[in-house]
Amino acid sequence: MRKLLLLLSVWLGCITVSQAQSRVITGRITDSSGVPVPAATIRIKGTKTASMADNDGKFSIKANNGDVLVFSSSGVVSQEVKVGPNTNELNIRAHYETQNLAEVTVTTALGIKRQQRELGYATSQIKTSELNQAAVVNAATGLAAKVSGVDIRLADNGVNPQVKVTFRGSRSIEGNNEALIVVDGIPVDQQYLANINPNEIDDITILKGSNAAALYGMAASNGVMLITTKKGRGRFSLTYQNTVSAERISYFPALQNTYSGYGGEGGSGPNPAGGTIYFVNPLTGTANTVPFENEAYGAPYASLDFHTDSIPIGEDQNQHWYYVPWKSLPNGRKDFFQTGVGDQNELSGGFSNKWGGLFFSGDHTTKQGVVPYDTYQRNGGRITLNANLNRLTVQVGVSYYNVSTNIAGNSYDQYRPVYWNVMNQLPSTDLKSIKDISKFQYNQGFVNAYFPNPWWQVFNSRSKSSNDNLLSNVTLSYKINSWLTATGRTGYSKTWENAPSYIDSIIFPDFIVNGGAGPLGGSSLGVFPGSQTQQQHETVKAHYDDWNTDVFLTGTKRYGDFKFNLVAGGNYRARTSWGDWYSNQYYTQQVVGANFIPSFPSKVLHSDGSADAYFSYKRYDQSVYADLTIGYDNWLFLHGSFRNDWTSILDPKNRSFSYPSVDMSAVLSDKLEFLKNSETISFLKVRLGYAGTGNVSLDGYTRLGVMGNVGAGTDNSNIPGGYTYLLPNFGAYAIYPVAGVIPGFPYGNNGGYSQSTNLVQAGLKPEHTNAEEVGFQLGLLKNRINLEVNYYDQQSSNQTIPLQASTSSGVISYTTNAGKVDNYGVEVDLSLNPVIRVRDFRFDMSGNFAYQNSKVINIAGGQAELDQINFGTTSIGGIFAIAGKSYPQIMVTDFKRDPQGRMIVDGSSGLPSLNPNPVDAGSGNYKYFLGLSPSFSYKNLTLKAVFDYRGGAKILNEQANAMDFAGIYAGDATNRQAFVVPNSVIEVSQGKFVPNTNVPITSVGGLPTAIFWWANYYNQAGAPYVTSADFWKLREVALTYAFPMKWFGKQDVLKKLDFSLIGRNLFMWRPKANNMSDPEFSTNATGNAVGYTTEFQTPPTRIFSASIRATIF
Amino acid sequence: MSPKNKNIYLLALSALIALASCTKKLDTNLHDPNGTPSSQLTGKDYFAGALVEIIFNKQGINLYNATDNYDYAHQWMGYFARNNGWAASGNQQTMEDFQLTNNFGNGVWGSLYHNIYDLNFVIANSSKGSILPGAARALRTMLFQDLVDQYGNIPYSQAENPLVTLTPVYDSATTIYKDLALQIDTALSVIQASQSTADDASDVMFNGSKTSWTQFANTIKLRILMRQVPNGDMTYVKSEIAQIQNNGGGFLSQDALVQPNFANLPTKTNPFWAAYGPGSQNYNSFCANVLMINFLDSINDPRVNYYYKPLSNGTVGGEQFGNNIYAQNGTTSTYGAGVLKNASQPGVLMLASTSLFMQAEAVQRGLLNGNAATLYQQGVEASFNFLGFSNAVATADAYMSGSTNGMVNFAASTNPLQTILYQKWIAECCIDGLEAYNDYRRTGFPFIAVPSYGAPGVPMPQRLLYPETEYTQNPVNVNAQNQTADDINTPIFWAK
Repeated sequence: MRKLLLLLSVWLGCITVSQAQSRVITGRITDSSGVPVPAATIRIKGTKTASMADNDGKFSIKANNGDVLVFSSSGVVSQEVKVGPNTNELNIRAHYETQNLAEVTVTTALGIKRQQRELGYATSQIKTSELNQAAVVNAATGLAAKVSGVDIRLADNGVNPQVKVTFRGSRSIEGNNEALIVVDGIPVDQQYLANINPNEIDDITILKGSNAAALYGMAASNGVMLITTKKGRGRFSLTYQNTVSAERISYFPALQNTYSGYGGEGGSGPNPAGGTIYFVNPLTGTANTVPFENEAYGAPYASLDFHTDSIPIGEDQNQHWYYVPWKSLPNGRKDFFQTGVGDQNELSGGFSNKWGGLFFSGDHTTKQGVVPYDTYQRNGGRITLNANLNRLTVQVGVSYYNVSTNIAGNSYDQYRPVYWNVMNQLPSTDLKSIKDISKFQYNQGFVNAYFPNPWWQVFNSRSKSSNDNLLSNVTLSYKINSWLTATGRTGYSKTWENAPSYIDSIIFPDFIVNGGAGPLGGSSLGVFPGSQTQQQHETVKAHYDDWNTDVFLTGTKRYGDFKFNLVAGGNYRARTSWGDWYSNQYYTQQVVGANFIPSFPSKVLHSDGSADAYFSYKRYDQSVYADLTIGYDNWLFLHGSFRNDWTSILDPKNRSFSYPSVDMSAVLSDKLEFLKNSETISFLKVRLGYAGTGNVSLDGYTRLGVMGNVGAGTDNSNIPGGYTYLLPNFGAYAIYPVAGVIPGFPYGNNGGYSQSTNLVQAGLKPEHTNAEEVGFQLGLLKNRINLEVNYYDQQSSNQTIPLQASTSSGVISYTTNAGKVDNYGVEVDLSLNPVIRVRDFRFDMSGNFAYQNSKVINIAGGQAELDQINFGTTSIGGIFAIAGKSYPQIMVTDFKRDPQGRMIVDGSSGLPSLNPNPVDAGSGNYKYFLGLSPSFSYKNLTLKAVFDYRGGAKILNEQANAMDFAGIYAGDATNRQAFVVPNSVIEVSQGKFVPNTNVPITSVGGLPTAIFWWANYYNQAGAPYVTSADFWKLREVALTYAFPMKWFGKQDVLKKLDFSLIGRNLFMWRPKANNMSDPEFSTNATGNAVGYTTEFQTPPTRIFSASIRATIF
Repeated sequence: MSPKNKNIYLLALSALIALASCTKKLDTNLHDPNGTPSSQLTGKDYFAGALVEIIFNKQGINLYNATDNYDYAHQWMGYFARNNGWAASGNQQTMEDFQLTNNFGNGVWGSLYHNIYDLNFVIANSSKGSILPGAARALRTMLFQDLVDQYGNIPYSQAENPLVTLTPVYDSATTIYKDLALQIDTALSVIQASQSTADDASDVMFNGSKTSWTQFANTIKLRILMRQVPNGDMTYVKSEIAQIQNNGGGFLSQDALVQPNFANLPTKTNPFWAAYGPGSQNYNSFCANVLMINFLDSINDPRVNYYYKPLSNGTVGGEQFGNNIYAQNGTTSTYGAGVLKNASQPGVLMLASTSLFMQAEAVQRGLLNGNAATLYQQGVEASFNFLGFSNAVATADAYMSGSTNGMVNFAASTNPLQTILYQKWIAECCIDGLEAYNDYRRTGFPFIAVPSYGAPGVPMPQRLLYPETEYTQNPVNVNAQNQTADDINTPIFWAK
């Protein structure tokens, strides 16, 4: 075929030459990433002569010298090329227009394509090239800062980080605020974003608001992310892409490197080097270094008061002590982290013809973490077949992915993450030098008595997970007649999780086992009987499946100037999940409390002391829906939809509910005369919409496992450290809380039940959201400047809230419909295409801005008298919802302060005291978002960047608080001697405060020194650890060179070759006060309680990559 | 109708049929396979659990907050202390310095109220004629008294009824105390009217014995009344005690022990063993308190080796409470075999000796008819018996008669009340620190010269502060109490 074409063009070319005037010009039109643009129109300007490109982007047209060829296509910027005497072959690189042009078609709910002009609501689209410009591993991270109103929040920095995706802020206080993810028409869990290869995605359409999402019903009250995977297109071709990356810690917390270890011990211990080590110098009364300490409140390294020039850190087999130099090593801890190397390989290919097409892809991605030996692997692929059989079109897609991670687990005692055990070493510790733990007498290779050597953990505590995911879909569309089509679509997905974790057996030295003192003093690690613990082993197994079917009719009919588009159908969705948590965590003698599976009713004890707990959930939903758009004269559109849902998880009386939506749009630039003729304004559309949606805010996850901490921890008092796996429970059975079981029961026939600490209101209703939005789209100067502005306001009432009760009421929470949230914002998307174009140089710019605010109007309702809700707190603060304030709100403990905010201290001790009422410390959610995406191209070279600013939020860095306890935070090098609290006041009489200039703190915690100010006093309050969470980030930089094909001579294989250098998260600019971590991180990984980080999130990183991409055939 | 239209209607019809066939599936979630809803359970399913819950709160690691239970009272009363090899942190430090905050005692508050909530379920949902509602009412009264004794005014009249209010108001401690006595009267009448039912199997303390429950309820009432001696309305106390004596049921003469069949199996052990036994974190974190060791040594009391495990050299050693002076390895004792017996030992809800010493004090004060010396002797015997002395009665008698010390030999005592209360303090060692702390605040016995070596000269607190959770979840009502940090020194109404 190809040869034939070539012959044809040569032949036609001959004719052209012979006729000297008119000749055939051939060529190909592709987009900026080399993908063919099918069916583009090629017109000779000023004539009716036109031609159309084929599916492969190839075209030919007869033209004369001096003719101007106009290339145009839906969604693509028109280009004009003048035919010169030597113009025979043209390769046109098309640029996609931003989507606010009249002709653009967009994907809407149920995958139905609509013209943008018809829509009365906001949508955005991201193409594969833009999504993948920085070679992301997780698709969601490729969206950050590229679309207004889309909040992508990376929860942590593990090898498989959790990403939270929300659109337009938060509507639900306690329920789910995450967008619904739909892949090729099939809803999937948000966790699926980690399973899909981003290169397989053709485009992502964001249905930001309720109107856009109304057809998806309750599942979509938070907006929908429609992911469309690639299909075969044009003639057969294969693309291979390889990306190699290197990831390094970029911002490490600020540390003090001046002082050595001392934790408040009196007394002394024998010095392995001979003599005695006095922990407090008997002559001066000052603290000497204590080698086994983690708290760095000892003597300064610069002093000479340690007995030798080295510190003992452990014994070898022959009771010889190892020593480290008596000096501070500022990078001794940071250098524990390695450069993580990643490798992504992707091969994809496909073709299409008039009968249909085929696409397939395979992905093999490996990644090392910055924590040594942490690994991630993703393997899988996808096949999509589509067939056009007369009236019937068929699409079948199947994908299968395995994502495996193997990460260092928690430590054996307090289930601490590696990062925390790294931080809790003294400034003199060179972690690299103690990697070989086998040289120590005891296999835990500990260097301080309270926190294990993190290398022990790396080698002996592992947490693995293997997640398999199958996603399949079949869509059949039958064209019943010229105006009516019936579509049936069914999708089935199944996920299997297998997550074994273990902590190996440990042999403790006798002095640890026996507790109390030893050659070097005490330890809190001495919790184990005998000389070893058994291997602790835990396995979480789970699977869940989701079967979703839609059947609907779509019809389009015209009556005169009116055009009607109708969609009507029904949906059925069935979900089940099952989980098994197995643990043999127990010690030889210790029993109660050692078995870490809480006493779930389904817990089964085995004779060897191990146990399983089983969980199973089912949920069914069904719905009917209808959607009608009436267009008048192709400029005015009125649209309405209606959906009724039935769900099994609510009480039979309340399980049926409906949502109406109505909106309209008017393309004024097509109607108003002065706009029609305007040279400046090329497009103007205004729109207005209302939608009612519901959210059954009971969806949740059941936490299985404690050992395989996945990065973000949780604040669950029953479970130390975090969790291994979140099993979706769909909110099934949530309205019927089950009785708890007292630990140890059943004994014989005695069940030992205990009432649930949660009570649920009888007749609980879904949350209801009324959403209004208005907006306009404006194209200026032939759409060179595109502006889209939206304003939305969503009021969610009937919030489903587990009201926090006084425990004296008998329960801890009462789940009820109470409360209202108002969520409003402005979104602005602006693109300048191009800003500058000078010959081959082109500079494009797009930017987006969003303001969003979620405000709690009220919480109280019915019997509830509470005005706030908390999400789980630590002793220093927590994340709350408070009537009248932004949501979510950080509340912290603070010291008592005078009206001017100065700390009130005691007139004799100089010490401040705690205010028993928590104080407001600001919003945990960002309010301002700004994304800037400049793009430069010069000939074959392009440079793209993405800047991301977020503002208006605060962050509670709990880790800084813990670091103050350990005396390792940068500020801890100060205020060790008696000192006057800066900017403090003394209350001389009620309400009268005078500045404190002369009452110093001389004693803290019963010690005759202020040395433990940071550890035992200052860190009792949370307020000092709240900083601004604002940041600027350089998220992405990608420099790509497209090799000119002529370099490869005449060959028929290689069609395209690109090479890119990519940087991700290269720079972050934060306010000076925030010297801890990435404020985007969140302990509550995918929940609502953002604004709070701990030691479970490793430090931020930057990633450098090199990528090569080749297309053949 | 054209054939094409027929297709549409057929399609619509089949869709409707498909939907209709699914409605049954919508009932799927009415029954949770992962547990049992309360609606399907009755009092007997809760009662055994509620008894064990009390043991957890009293003697084990608190169920709802692993950091605080009655450890504080045990340490303040000189029973045990922090092993100084372990640096104090958080609540321990606060507690040693007597600088209690609102974060201290959250667990005590929350778990007692939840315990009462479970007992309320038993009272409301037991089978007809069952003894459980009466027994549960007596237990509930005891727990409410424990709350008042630690916090003073507390939510009472509106408490434990979440469907009515989630934010109960606080009632005055004196009003509550009056009502507690009436509650026992009701409990007694329910117990008296009960018959033996299948519910008895869940009574893992008295196995449904009317006699024992009557004695227990009478003893709790005596405990409520004696707490008001000598600072309360003595006329009221005297008439109420007379009323108890008149009902003829008598007082507890056996240890009230909870035994659901604790066993040396994972999760099945006695909560005290689990919390403080070998292998527990506390085993090495806490040790004997030299205050008690020295006192027992001074009166040649053989129980010292039963409360504390002798060291390799045969002596017992300990730490001073609040002291940060580091003790050398191997110089401190853990709990002895009298209190830490084995993994399957029963939980102690109340000691017989507590009951007997209370009666002895009442007789001594002329509030109850009887012989104080005999009751005193029986109290000491019961203590020896509990600790597992062989020939406990004879050994105890020999201990008393062989001593000339007025703290031991009742006949030699110059201050019989003091002797009774000191022996009560000894008997409750490592078992019932809260009761000892109550007596300390009420009578000043035992005299403790240095309450905390971490805060010399600072008096021992008189109460706990309302917990932080009340300030976040019941702010209006807790703020109405106007409590300040200094209120830790404000005595409960019955204290001096």
